[in-house]
Amino acid sequence: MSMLAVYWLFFQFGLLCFGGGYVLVPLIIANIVENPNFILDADMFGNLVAIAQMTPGPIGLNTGTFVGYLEGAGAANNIFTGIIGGIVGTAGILTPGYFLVIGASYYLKKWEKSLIVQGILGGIRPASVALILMAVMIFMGMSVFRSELPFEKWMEYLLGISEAPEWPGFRFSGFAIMAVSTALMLWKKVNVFYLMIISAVVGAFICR
Amino acid sequence: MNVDRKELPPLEEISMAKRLWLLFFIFAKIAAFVVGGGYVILPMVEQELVQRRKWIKPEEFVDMTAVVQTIPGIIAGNSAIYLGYRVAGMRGSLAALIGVATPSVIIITVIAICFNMISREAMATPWVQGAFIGVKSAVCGMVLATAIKMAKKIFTGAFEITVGVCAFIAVTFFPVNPGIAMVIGAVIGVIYFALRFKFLSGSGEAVK
Repeated sequence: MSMLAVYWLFFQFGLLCFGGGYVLVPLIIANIVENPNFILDADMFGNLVAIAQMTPGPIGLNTGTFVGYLEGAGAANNIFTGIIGGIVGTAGILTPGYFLVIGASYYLKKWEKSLIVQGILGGIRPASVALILMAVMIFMGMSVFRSELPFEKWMEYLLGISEAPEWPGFRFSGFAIMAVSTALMLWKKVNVFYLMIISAVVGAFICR
Repeated sequence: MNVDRKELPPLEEISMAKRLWLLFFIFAKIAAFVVGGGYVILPMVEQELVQRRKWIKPEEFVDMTAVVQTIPGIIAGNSAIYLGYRVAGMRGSLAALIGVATPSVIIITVIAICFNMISREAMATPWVQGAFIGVKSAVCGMVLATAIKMAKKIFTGAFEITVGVCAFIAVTFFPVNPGIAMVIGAVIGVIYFALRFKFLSGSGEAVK
């Protein structure tokens, strides 16, 4: 793959990626994993997503850098072109957001008092809280519960379409850490960095 | 463990070069510690830029959160662009964006180079897994606390609560794309504000 092709592909991902980095996973599967011109196969991609989630950095950027590196390095596994590929992939994902966010930020400020801007902000502010709560539910499926929370299956059950799904296992240790960190963030000014390090140490001992 | 309370200089007293460097450094530091995706940077950025340095007003942070979720792209990247732009213009947005991407590029490139050398067994030990679960649980709490703080500011009336609850049900229990939910929220907001304006101006009351 040429660098320009990698950039263009990731530029499109950045443009289609509504709702954050998680949306990248199905996009990459459809466009890269299932395309035989690319090196990445399903098995490698599974490992790669797991690593992108566990290493620091936003998941979308980690995945972009990783896929860019592998496609840049190519079959010859050239480290130099790999590094360039990683940077090009990351830049590609971020480019559309750069122009859209600056444009939005500029016009929202310029027409701050207009009815349209007031209306748009009035509608997206409450919806954004809902999206953050959804992200909390996704994280809870990876920590406080032992598997993903099957909301859509519960809805299907309520509507009588399917059987009741299995209840995901509850992890009390995870719930305790979550409750303490919520309380500390709300009522005490705790440094988030220390909170993360302490919960990693505590988690290593009590989370099983 | 507390965030230091010594007075930091206001934004007006900081030179442009120093602003750019601080933006790069703050976002690089945050991205280097984020485990679990873009939503985790929200509590960190709020603590650093809103509470500690007071560069961004709390209301502006709420609007940023709503806007970056409506625009496609990586949430962490879009937040960096928006806030960097507000602090130091176009150059600021670029400094913050490079800051947020640098840790991912470095860490993932190193991992990609050693992709075949990583011992999967070491990652699978109960201690390492426990530490990850601990961090993710704490992240749930931090993001939940951000959502609660935002909800307190945003959910001031029946309209806001209705939009928030409907958006949550749509994205969690039904397979509605978060980006589409935000766009619908914006359209409903414009219609509501237009109707309220028409109704209130008709009855001679001042529009808020």
